[in-house]
This record gives sequence, C-alpha cells and structure tokens, in this order.
Amino acid sequence: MATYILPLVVFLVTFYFIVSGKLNRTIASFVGALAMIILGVTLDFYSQEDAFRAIDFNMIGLLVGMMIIVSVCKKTGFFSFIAIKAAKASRGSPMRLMIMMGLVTAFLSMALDNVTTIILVIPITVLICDILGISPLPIIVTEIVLSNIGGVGTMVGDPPNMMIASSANLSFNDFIVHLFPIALGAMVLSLVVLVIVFRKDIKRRPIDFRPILEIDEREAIRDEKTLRKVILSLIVVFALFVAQKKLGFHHSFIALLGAGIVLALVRPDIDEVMKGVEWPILAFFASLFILVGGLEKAGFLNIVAERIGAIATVNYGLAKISILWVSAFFSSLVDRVPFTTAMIPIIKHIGELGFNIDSLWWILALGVGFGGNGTPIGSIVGVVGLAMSEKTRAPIDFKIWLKTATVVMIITMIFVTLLIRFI
Amino acid sequence: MRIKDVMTRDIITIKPSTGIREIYGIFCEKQIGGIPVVDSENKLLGMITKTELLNVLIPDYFDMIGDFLFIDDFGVLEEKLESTPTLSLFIAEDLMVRNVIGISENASLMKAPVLMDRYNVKRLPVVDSNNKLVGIVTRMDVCKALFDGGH
Repeated sequence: MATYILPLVVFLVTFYFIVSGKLNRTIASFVGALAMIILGVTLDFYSQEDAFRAIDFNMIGLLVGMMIIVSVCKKTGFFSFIAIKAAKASRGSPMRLMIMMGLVTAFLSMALDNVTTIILVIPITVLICDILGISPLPIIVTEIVLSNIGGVGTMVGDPPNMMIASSANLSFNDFIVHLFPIALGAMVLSLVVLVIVFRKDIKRRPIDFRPILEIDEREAIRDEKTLRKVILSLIVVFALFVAQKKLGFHHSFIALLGAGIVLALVRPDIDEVMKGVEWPILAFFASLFILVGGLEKAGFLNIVAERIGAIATVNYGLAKISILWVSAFFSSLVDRVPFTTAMIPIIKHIGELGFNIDSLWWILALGVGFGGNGTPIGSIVGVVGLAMSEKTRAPIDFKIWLKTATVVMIITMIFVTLLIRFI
Repeated sequence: MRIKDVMTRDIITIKPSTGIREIYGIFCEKQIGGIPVVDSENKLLGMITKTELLNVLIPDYFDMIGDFLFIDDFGVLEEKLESTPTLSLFIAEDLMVRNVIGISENASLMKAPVLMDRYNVKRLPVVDSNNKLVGIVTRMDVCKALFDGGH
C-alpha cells in the first residue's frame, strides 16, 4: 500500500466534516491535524517538527495584523459613512445605487477583510433601500459578488491571496500588477451582467430621495479621532507593502507593524480588540497547513503535481486552463481555503519539474476568487450575506443566486480564460 | 417559603396562534405586564410582554446596524410602519420570547429575585415538574411575601 493512502484518508475525512458542516470547521480541522501528526509520527513520514514548520506563520501574522486594524476600524462608523456617501452619489436611481454600493464594497474588500466589509455594509444598505422603498435584493447580491471579485485584486484582499503571497514570496506590487487590472475588468463586467439580470428590479421609478440627502453621513462616524489613526496606520501599511521588495520586510511584519501603530495610538480596550480577531479562523488555517503538510510529506501532492506536469508537457495552455477551472469548480462548491492550501505545494512541485509557475499563482488566485461566486456556499461572504438577507423582506434563495451570481461567475471565468495567455 | 405559596394562580394564557390584536386587547383590559404562551397541554412555550408588541415596529436587520439614530427621516420605511397592512397577520408565535426563564413551583422563594435580577425580567412563569404552567410570580408577589408575610 502506498504511504500516502492513510494520510489521504485522514485529509478527505476531515475535508468531508469541514464542507458538510457536520462539525465546526475549526474543530474538524484541528482534530484532523492532530490525527495527521499521530499518523505521521507512527508511520514515520511526518514529524512534530515538520508539522510545526508546515504552518505558514508569515501568512497567519499578516492575517492577524489586518484583523487587529479592522477590529479597531469597524467600531468607528467608517463603513456606514462610506455607504451613505455612495448612496447619496446615486442621486435616487436604483441602478446607480446598485453600481455605487457594489463598487464601494469591492474597493473596501480589496483593502480590508471581505466578511467584515459585507457584515458592515449590508445592514446599512438594507436600511437605505427601506428608506427609499426599493428592494434591497439586487444590491445585496451585487455587494456579495463584488466583494468576492474585489478581494482577488490585492494581496490582502482575501486569505487565499495572502497564502499565495506568503508561500510564493510575491509582493503587494506583484498582485497590483497581475491581479488588480483583471479584478477591475471583472468588476465592470460583472456590474454589466448584474444590471442586465436585475434590469426589471432596478427600473427607474419616481422615488422620494430626500430622506437620504438629508442624512449627514459625518454623523455616522462615532469616533473621528480613532478613525484618523486607523487611516494613518493603513496608509503606513500600504506604503510599506508597496516598498516591500526594497525594504525586505516580511508580509506579516508590515501588517503587525500597522496593528502596533493602531494599538499604540488608539490604546483601545485590548480585550475588545482581541475579540475582533477571529481566532477560530486562525486555528482553522494553522490546522489546514498541518494537514496539507502531512499530505505533502507522504508524497501525495508530488504525484498530483507530476500528473499536472504531464499535461503541461503536452500542452501548457491546457494545464493552465484546467487549473483555473478546477480551482473555480472547487471554490464554488466548498471552502476555497483548504483547496488553496493544498494547491500551493502542488504548484511548487510543478515548478520543481522545470516549469515556469509564475502565472500559475495568478491563475490559482483568480480561479478560487471568482469561483467563489458560483454558489451561495462557495464563499464565507456568500454564506454570511445570504443569512443576512434572510432578515430582510426579500431573502436571496438558491434560485435567485443561480440566475444572477452564478451567471457572473461563469462570465468572469470565461473572461479570465480568454485572457489566460497574458496572465 | 416556596414559590407556590406566593405565586398568582389565576392567570391569563394565550395560544401560539393568538392574533396580535387580541393580545393588544388583553394588555388594554387587564393590569398585567406579561402573558405566557402555552400549548394545548398547558406547557409553557414562551412569554409576550409589551416590549414584544413594540418590537413589531423594528425590522429584523436593525440589530445588525451599529448606529443609525443620527438618521432623522426614515422615509418609506416609516410610512410603511404607520400603516402596515401586515400588522394584523402577526400571531403570538412570531412575537413571543422563547426559552423563557421559568421557575419551579417548589423552588425556594429566594430564587425568584435572583433569577429576576440575573435575567432582567419582571415576572417568572411558574411550572410544575412536568413543565406545565401553574402560575406566575411577579415582583409584587415576592414583595408581598417579604413585607406582609404572604397572602
């Protein structure tokens, strides 16, 4: 029996519990990681030191730093301020409102955590729609879809990008050069698609826009001093990211430095801030790294890489397209993080076979990022957004999703496929 | 002293299907602050107070918005609330607080103020060993026992 069979079973059983929701994903992955270590030590393919080294602390540090900054930022009322400002700019047209809110969500998702963005933007969106007497449904769908797409555009936009950046040693600028333009193109494209699919719901009709114009969005800001300090630290973080290659700083160091600046300047209640750091997600990621590390040490990921390498030898373009669509397929059905975690060492092995893998990193990021819009369970943003929409008068169901977001996912994927030679 | 010695036994209950107007009528007519909701076997399902009636006005998603009280004009939302056609469709089941804090009829009297304080409620439904509703104990019931030595 090949040495990788048992580790693969451990991985697949864990994966089943994570995606089926039968067990909380953090608990499932944590127990799975422990099982992998026990198996590895017993069968002598994976030591405890290997497991510890498998955890990408650079990526985890990057995530923690960003989470701390966001945790302080989210109480300032900044998101409501931006949302109301965007709503005002729509000047009473439901279509413009949809586009504005979508763009705002996309750009916030590029800089900050997608889920936080969605959690803070959707409620204020629903309130604005209720005040105007229009259905929030098209706008919520747009926000979810564009949050996923926007997240692809930068290194810190979404955890898969952070993982790729950390393990492939790609800088913030690399992401801006390679992914940002594609994300922008996909944003425009998806807005066009969404305007078409929702054309009946966002038809222009006389609505009383005065109540929105009367809102003073500056009053939404509860703590201007704190907000200024958060913005300052974000500017420092992004400036350092841009200069990262020259300075030789690790991704995590920059994000944690930003977090340090915020904490030192704002001096918030540290317990409150730490509550905003999503420890279950961090434990989930660390556990996944250990699980995938076991699979790698057992030699399984090598075999997958060799298979893909065999396709690549015959037709490199076909290999790229397969990785893109397989990534999107997985990401639309299950949590994209375990898949990305497993794909990273596979792509590294493909590189060891002598292929140029630079473009594969971008293809992976695009596949898992855009693929997340395929179904409501394809991304955490989708899951959270749908749950929130259930509290409104027009909840989003699976059928609506298929007719709107899934269409966007397919069209953005075709867009990427057409561009694949240039990626 | 036990709860059953001080509780009010003669209480009004409603079914999960009782309509909101009827519930409002009960509050208008009787000097009570809360009505237990029970099933056909008199098992306690929930409680409705005047707060729950008022909460009908608040959209479900409001608790997700951090702060919005700087908004003065709620536009269509407010107009809809004032003449909401769906208002009469609400029944007790939609409004009631579930998992209410009940107290056993055999519990010590001491427990009532502790529970009221801990869960910030003004009255406790009293249940027997089969979880069937047998009465209500209010703050006044406890006070009476304390100051007047019971009924």
